[in-house]
Amino acid sequence: MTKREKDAPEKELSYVQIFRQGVFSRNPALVQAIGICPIAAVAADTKTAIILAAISGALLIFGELLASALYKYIPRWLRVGIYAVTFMAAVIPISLVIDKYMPNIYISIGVFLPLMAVNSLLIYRCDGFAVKNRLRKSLADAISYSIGYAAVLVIVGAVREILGKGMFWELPLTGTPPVPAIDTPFGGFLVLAFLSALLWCLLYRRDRARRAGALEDTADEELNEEAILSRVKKVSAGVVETAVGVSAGMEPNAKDGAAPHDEKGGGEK
Amino acid sequence: MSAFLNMVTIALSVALLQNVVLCGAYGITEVLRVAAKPQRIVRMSLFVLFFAVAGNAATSALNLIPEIRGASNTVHLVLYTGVIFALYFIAVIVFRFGFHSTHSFLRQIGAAAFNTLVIPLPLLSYRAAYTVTEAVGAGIGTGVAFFVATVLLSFGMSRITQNKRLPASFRGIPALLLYTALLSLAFMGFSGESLIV
Repeated sequence: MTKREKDAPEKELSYVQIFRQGVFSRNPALVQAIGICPIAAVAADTKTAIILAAISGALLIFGELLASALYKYIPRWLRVGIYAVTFMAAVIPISLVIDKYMPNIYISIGVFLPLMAVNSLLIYRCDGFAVKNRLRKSLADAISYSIGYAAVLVIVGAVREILGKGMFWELPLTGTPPVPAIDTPFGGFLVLAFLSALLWCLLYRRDRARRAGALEDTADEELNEEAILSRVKKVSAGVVETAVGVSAGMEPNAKDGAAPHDEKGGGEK
Repeated sequence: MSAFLNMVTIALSVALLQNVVLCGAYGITEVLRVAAKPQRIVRMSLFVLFFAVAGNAATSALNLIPEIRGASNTVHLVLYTGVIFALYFIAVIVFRFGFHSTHSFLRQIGAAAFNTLVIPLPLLSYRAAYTVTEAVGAGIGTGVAFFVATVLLSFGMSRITQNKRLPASFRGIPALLLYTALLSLAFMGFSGESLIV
């Protein structure tokens, strides 16, 4: 994440910055550990992962548009419940359609299909961004986070299908003996951990390249190792600025270094 | 006596033998969030316990009505969401107007009520055909499972933060996810399932 991105309130970000944050520097699953329940539990094959990605994307876009247009008029203390009920109402027709046209997928997703309605990613983005921004920016935010989340879902699904089942797109692969453990949530966490490390590694490399003058906008978008390490430490220490957001009753848009969970400092009085 | 023993057995199974959070990844995001703030572990666990027990008991009682028991999954889903929302609404009203709690505190109630741990519980209990006492046991087990998982992850998180030998790319979330994976593997060992071959 660039210094500008980190320090600026989200509503002041450009469309490019919003896109870059959702997909890379603030990837919900790999950087913020948001919405990892469906990834770890269900995304064990590519087809299911694509369906989940499409559902979460559709719900996020629908939810952010609705939040941006209407939910700012609802008291903040009641919003979490309203989001959950709204998303559940949206998930029901989706689940009926999947049950009718893709019964195998419906069975493999099981109880996790309705659980997409309470995916913390949806509530966090709606309450953390959409209610404070206009429709266009909320739409851009929803699309970028959907792409970032969908990419992780699909990659994890594909890797787990290959390693866990010895197949890809339901076609058996030769030379890859299946490891059943990868099919379980253990495998999901494992693949997520390595993907997350890979993303951090790429962020480091980008930083090094910039410092070496390989990129032109170094001065504009400083990303130094200390900043990343500091951020990582904060994440580890639990001062996860935006990620913590609504899911544990924290202030989603607090700046790095703030303690958004604290009742004295965070949240509206 | 038998019903009580059943309840205890189910609670122990859900909480420890097959910890729903670590073995099933239910509610793992909330667990990670709460584990990052150890002073909130007990409070959030109590909230989760309340919603899990009350929600599961209420929906199991509703399932005793033949028309509801025979209804489709969609009807059950609407019903369960309605029950959890009603409990959430009552809790929020009580804390908001009775105790003048902050918005941050009220959002924690929301996070405890609407997450991937509490919401699926009635549906899983319905599929397992639990009686009301067994459903209460599953609710208690869920609350305890949340507490156990958050304590374990919180402890691991503090140790990971102190470890200076970790490669830079693995610090923070990647190391935490690896630790979660190992805990998950450890708890799945109780299931007796073959994980390697």
